[in-house]
Amino acid sequence: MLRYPRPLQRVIEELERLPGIGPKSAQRLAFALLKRNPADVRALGEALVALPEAVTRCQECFNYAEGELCAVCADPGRDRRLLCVVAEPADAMAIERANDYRGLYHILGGLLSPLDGIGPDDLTIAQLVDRVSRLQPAEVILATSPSVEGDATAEYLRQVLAAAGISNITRPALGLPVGAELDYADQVTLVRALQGRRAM
Amino acid sequence: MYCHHLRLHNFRAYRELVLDLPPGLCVFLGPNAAGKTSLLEAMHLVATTKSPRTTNDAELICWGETVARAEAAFRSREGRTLRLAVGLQKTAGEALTKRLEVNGEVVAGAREVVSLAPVVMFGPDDLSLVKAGPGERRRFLNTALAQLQPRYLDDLVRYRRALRQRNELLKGLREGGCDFAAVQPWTEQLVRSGAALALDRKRFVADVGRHARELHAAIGGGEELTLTYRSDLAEADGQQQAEELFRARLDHLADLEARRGVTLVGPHRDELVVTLGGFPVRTFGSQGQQRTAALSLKLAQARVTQEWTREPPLLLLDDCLSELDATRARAVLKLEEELDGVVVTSAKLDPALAERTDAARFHVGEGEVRSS
Ligand SMILES: [Zn+2]
Repeated sequence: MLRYPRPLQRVIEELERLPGIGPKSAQRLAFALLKRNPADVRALGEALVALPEAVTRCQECFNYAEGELCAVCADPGRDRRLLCVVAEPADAMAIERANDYRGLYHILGGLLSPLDGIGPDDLTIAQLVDRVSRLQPAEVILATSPSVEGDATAEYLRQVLAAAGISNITRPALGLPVGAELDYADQVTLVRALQGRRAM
Repeated sequence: MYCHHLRLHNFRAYRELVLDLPPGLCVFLGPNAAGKTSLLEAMHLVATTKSPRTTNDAELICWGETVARAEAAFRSREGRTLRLAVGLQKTAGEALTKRLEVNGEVVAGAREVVSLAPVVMFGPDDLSLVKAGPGERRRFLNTALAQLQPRYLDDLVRYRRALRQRNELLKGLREGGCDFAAVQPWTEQLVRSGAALALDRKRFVADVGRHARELHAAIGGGEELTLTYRSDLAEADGQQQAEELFRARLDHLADLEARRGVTLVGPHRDELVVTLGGFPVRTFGSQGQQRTAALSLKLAQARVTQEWTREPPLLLLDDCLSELDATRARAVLKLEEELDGVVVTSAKLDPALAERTDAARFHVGEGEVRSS
């Protein structure tokens, strides 16, 4: 039986362990790497080797960082009276891309889910409470997803933060996409948006 | 709503089938196992994303094939055409992918399909609707309401998820693993979605009950058919009241839930009680009584669908008229006047069918359907 040379086989096996990559894509990626300029492959290898040490967690908000603090926490221009709680770094990145929010973040590192064995101690909730008592923000925004887990996590945080003396706790409204025609809106989105209506 | 076009590829016994159907009454005639039911099954599948006969979609693919497709075009009362399709593909390791299409575009889930083309089907297996345990009747409520209100399916999915998460915590509580405060956020999710489900079911059962009683008088014996929604939340009116009642009931049983490690109140325990002349059909009814009761429920569902959505559903009647005498079969077929499309299968041309000279008749056999 024909086998790939050991170094190639090893790369295929390592790639296969990544999420979303099956045996076929792993093989295709490995072949693509072999065909590339050796300098490019070396650059990729160096970037990968540096990754675990070079990227840390921000000691304040637990977002990815290059030093002790992430770019947001280190920025003196950010509004420290505003704190937005999200599940993952990608959620904070999505809000950052919109380039409108000027407050701070707090990354929970997931959502509560008893079925997956994730409880309050597995998230950065104790650190959030500690941070909130230090910062005394004027508003805490609970921006977890509107799923059952996201809603339950927000509800849990609401109680914990209220007990810590925070009075202004908000949750983003479920809305319709801007520019969407009501006629074509997904009917569930439409109903939920109506349920979350406000007086004006 | 009626189905004016059906196209099958490797679906059950049909390698290739293209069929055009007129509005009104369509009759598929043919011997048993000729493939009549598969035609209704295909219409049901594309409209609801689920087969009425099996939960294993792989069975729908022609033996020895890896892909199958069912496509149907429906016309609404307003004259709009809606093309729905389901594509099935067996992949490596016996996994199955299911692709749902609306007007040629792939959609993400059942939620975006189920309320578009309302379909009501009654077949021999639907006897279980009154004969089997309460779960079967909850399933009836869920399927019907998901077609009627897009929000219902969302609430149902949320409720089931919250229930599983909450039960997991209660189980831990029993084993002394966590504190009761951790349960509360899940209780809140359970209460919100559960209250909405209960209110929808209550309103639906009231309307279905009214029509079922009337329909049963025409197609059943002399006994009066009644439906009762039995629920922990049955007495509540309005979302807020239902939530408060649900919370109070859960509070009341908190200690017991902690000991048992499971949620003891809520719509997952609902029962739809069907009685005939005051007696539960499930335990006291004869086979014939159970059949007419179940049929009445389904026909009533068709009427409520028409009332709530102003769109008459496509009615699919699989091999159920032969069991009725001519007068009653006639009464069932009379419902066609209120609807836009009724498709019936039968092994033989019963008198009530034979006299309907307005009906389009098709002969079914050996993977073919011929107009006659
Ligand atoms: Zn930070």
